[in-house]
Amino acid sequence: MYAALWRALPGGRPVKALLCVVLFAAVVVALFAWVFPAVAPLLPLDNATLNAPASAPPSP
Amino acid sequence: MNAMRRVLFTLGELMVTAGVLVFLFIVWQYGWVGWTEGHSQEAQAKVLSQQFDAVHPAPSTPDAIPVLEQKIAYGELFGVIRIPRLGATWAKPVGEGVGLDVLLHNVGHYEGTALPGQVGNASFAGHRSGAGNPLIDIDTIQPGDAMVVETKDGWYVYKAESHEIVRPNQVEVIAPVPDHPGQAPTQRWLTLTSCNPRWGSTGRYIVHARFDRFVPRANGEPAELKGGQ
Repeated sequence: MYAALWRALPGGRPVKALLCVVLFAAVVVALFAWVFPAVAPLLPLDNATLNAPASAPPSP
Repeated sequence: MNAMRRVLFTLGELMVTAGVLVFLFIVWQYGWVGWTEGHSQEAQAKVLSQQFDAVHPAPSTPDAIPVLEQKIAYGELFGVIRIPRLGATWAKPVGEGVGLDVLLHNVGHYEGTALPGQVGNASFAGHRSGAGNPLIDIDTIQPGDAMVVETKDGWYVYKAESHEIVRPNQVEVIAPVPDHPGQAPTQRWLTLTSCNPRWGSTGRYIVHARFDRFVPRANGEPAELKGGQ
């Protein structure tokens, strides 16, 4: 998988390495900006409220 | 045999990738969001305080404890909560309602519970971890610690009295008389709910505080917020 990626990248070894770093950074940015914010509410990680408040919180 | 090796190798790569993803998620949730959101919440709280200052509320009659006009819209930011024990600059905007969207950027006020200064139990929720980790140190609050809610009228000073760890369905902690549902309140309480343990959500960490006094805006910040505990 990653070997195929390495072969597909153009240039010599330093260029390939640099491209890898850039690609990884782009993936991290995409994850932080869009993927994680979308996924976080679906995970039962942190819940600060009581389950059935006297007045149920309305849907946003 | 070669195909088998290929499959196993790819499988290994996918598992390493999954591990990196989980690690990045943890960095994002507790590091990145904690840092950026924590700062923006404090900035938002400062903006709210300045807006309250600009309102010039009518001089209230001495000794009267004003209460915000009743109907506050869901999501509306109507106050700032400050707890000196959690840090000199610790200040969080307070929004109406405890939906996920409100709690993402604020401490939320349980709708239908008392408003600050009102007889009953003014109840609030905030995340312990995630969404800026506002109440990450809720367990350091000691009896006697000031818990102050600022609104356009002034500062409602409460003093922490006790804490308890309950199951998520124990809604009696936000009853008008804390832990005594059905009783008619005669006193002013403040209750803060967050999750417990710190990185989990199997329980809820609750802090109860009792009303100490109201400081009108004209009198300036109460001493508790100026570094004196």
